[in-house]
Parts: sequence; structure tokens; C-alpha cells
Amino acid sequence: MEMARNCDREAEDGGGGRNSSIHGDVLEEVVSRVSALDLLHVSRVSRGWRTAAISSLLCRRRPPCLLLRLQSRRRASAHVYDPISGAWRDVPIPPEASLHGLDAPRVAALASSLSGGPRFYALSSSKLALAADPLGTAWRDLEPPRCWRTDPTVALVGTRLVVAGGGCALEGNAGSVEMCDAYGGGGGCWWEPCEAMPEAFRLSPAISAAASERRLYVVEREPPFGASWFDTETRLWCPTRSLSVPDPTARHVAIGFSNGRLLLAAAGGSGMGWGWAAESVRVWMVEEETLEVASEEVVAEMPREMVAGLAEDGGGGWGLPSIGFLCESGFAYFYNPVYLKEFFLCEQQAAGGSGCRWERIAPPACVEQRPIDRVVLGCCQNGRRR
Amino acid sequence: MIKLVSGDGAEFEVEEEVAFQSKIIKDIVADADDVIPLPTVSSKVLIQVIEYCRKHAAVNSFPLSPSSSAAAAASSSSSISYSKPVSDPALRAWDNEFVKLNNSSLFDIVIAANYLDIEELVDLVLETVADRIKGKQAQEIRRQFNIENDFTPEEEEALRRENSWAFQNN
Repeated sequence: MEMARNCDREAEDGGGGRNSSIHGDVLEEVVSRVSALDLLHVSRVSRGWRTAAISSLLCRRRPPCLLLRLQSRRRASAHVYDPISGAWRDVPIPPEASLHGLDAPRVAALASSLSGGPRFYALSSSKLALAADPLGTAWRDLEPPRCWRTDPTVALVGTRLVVAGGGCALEGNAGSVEMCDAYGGGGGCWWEPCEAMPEAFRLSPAISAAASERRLYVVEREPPFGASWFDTETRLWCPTRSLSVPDPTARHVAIGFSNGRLLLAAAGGSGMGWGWAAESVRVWMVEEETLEVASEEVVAEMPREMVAGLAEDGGGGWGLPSIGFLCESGFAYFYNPVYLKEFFLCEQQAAGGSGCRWERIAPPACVEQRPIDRVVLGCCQNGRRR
Repeated sequence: MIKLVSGDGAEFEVEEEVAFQSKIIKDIVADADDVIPLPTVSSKVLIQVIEYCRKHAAVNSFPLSPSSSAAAAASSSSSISYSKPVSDPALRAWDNEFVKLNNSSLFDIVIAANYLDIEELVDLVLETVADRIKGKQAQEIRRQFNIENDFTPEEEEALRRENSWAFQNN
């Protein structure tokens, strides 16, 4: 509406005919203030605008890419969504990195404090492999942890690889924790046993994890939202606290680090049991030390129609069974881990001081074409090819 | 009073605190005349810039918020406090109305504001223009800013097909 009025005014004073369309250093200044999400369109306006877009691209921090790996026993493919290009790009995986010689490869995502570092690991009964790059187009073999595990919480905390939980409850290993220096010298990787996870996480099937340079943070994805952190220096856990989410209707939560801030995403809604329906998705900042929500001020709130899209399950009756949340550098991707129909990208504090900006992103076509393959997702600040 | 003379010869008498929103005028007045010729600024643009400065000088001299009113009362009306002018919601709303202009007017204002070194006005205009680009396709941006598409048809076709320009520029 505002634009329409401006056009009217422009017509009145005949501004359209004047040859003072925006150019030169004013154009460069304007483009430097445009959101990274608009640069693609800016680059297609004219030669001058393209030059301005490219020079702006070189000196700004890039939004993080979304990494998607489709993995089956027989094959793997990797795909990167770059918000600047607004498109998915297929990344070839060499055959040897596809299966990685594991008898039953289980590729999964890890929490990482390493910007541009790996986001995936692969675990089998005989091996643990760490991706050598964000997408896992090459792998590094490590000794497996001493205790056998399924679906543990794995994190790169600085250069230390922490493997927590997922052990066999019958053997009393449910919450056991081991740690090694993944990038240490000497080639070998020496697993050290550490304090076991607090009680609340030992049998909890759904844990969301985030890593800082020194600590691994874990939160139960469902009520009562037990939360704790593991310090890699002291090798101890802090006492479990219950996260008090400012939204009393919160049913699912997840955590992540973005610009050095620990963020909590929560999906709230109404209804009981299977009748529960998501109505809101909000993000808050969490105090790292106390694990309390730092302030009731919402960092980001998903528009209502996108929440409906997130909970859309194609008639499967799943609704929103948990919330997928990947964040980095002031951007966050949200998704429905069970019914992956769309991703939602949020740019916090978009240009112009107008709050958050939200975009919908369709997954690459292969996700629908290969429904049996396991989808593993990550988010990484890495637009540059080495 | 300070006299500003536009490029087309029009004269404008303004109070010191209004003119001093421009850092450059403040510097000139400190060691020279009270008549300041501004040959690159047209009277049409100067009127708009003075309107902006008058509003901001008034709000900055007489802050509405109770916390800063004591400080303002203690200082004389000619001293301008740059406390946090744009955090004042009323001034922000006024700014939003002020920039409801066509793009070529904004372009002229930003050049004048930059020349006169009125930082807040430069920021305001640049943010406004950037906001008009938000969420638009290339064709809409061309229409909005009256820009000629100088790509050849072949180049345009190539642009349409490339979907990873950002990767290629590294």
C-alpha cells in the first residue's frame, strides 16, 4: 500500500522521467543494507546493480547454508541450500564416502561449535567416523567409543568429541559419557570415560544438543524439559534443571547456538494427546550458566500461516511430533522432522530494523523421490569452496 | 540565525540548532560567516532537509521522555543532545512519514544529507530505499527504481539458468 502511494506521488511530480535513478556509491550503500536474501534479485536488475551485489557479497557475512544428506545402505547424496542463491545445489559424493565401508552405517547429525566444521558422524559397532567436511564428502576414521551405543548424543565441543548416552541400560551404561580429542596430535584418539549423564537424560529418547567451545548443552525435547550442561574441562555435568519456557502451552523444544547466544525454540499449541495442534513457534535466549530463559522478550516468532505449514502432515495424523531447529549467525532453519514438506528460514533482525524475516524453502526433489532413505540435516556457515 | 543559500539562489534563514544538525555547517560557522552557500543543493531539496533538521532539532532540544528532561532543563536550549533521538517512537513515526517520497527525491536528499554530513538522515534514507527492495523480483525492482535492463537477451537467459551465482564468485 505504501508503495502504491509512492508510485502515485512519483507520477504527480513526473519523477519517472528524471535521470537521477539510484547509482554509484549511493547504490552500493543501499545494497550493503539489503538482506542477503534479496541479493539474488538485486544481481539480476542491471549490470551496475550486479556489480554492487557482488561487491556487497564479498564483504558481508554469509547466511548459513542448510545441509541435507540422503543416506541409505546402498548410496548417499548430499545437497546444499544456499540462501543467497535461493537454490539447492547437489554436491557429488565419491563412492568411497557414500557407504564408508561401515557394515551398517548410521549417519547422524552432531552438535558442533566448529564453524565450517563437520556436521555429521557415522557410527557402527566397529567404527566411528567423523565427516572431514561439513557435508561428509570425505570421512575420518576414529576408534569407536568403548561402550556400544545406539543413537547417542554426539557433539564437537571445541576440538573434543563427546559421545553421551545411548548405551545399553541392561549393562548399566545408559547414560555413560566418553570424550576424546578428535583433532589431537599423534594420530590416535584416546577415549576417556567421564561422569555419566544426569538421570533425566539416561532413558530419554529425545534430546536436543548444542555445543559451545567448552560445554555441551542438552535439553529434553518434551516436558518437563530437563536441561543440563557438560563441561569438557571438569568433565562434570551441572545439576539438571527444568527449563521454564515462557509459553505455558509449549510441547516441543530444541536448542542451538547462534552468534554466541544459546537459543531455545519452542512449539506451543492446544488440545490433548493426539488432538494436540501446534499454534505457535517462538524463540528465546537462554542464560548459559543458569539455563534459565534470559528474558521473556521473544527473539523470533514464526508467522501463523507458516506454523500451519510446519504442522501440515499430509493427512498422516502426525501433526508436529517434534521441532527441527538449526541455527547459526543470526539465521535459523525450522522443519518438521517427521513430515519434511518445507523448511522455514528466519533471518533475525533483518535489514531496516523491521524485526524478523521469514522465508519458505522447498526441499530438493530427491527427498520425495527417495522416501525410504534417511534424511540427515545440518546447518553450516560455509559458502566458500576451498 | 544562519542563512543558507541553495544552488538556485534561494535563501533560507534558520536557527542555529536547526542548521547544526549538519556537522559540516557547524564546522563552517565556527570559523567563518553566517551566510553559507550550498551550490550543489537545490532549493527543493534544501526545504526538505531543513524540515527534517527542524523537527530533529526540536525533539533533541526538548526531549519528551521524563528521564532526559532534567538534563535538558539544566543545559541551554542551544546545546543539542544526541541522546537517542530515533528511539523516540513519535520521532520515528515522523521519520517514517518524512521518507514517503519517490525514489529520485530520496536519492537527491541522501546526496545532500551526505554532503551536509547529517548522519541520521543518510541512514534513514538508505534504510528506506533498502526496504523498498525487500522481497522483490528483479523486474519489480527495475520498475520501482526506473532502471534500464542493460543485459543482453543471452545474458538474461544465462542469469535465469544459473542458480548458484554466489558460489561461482568465490
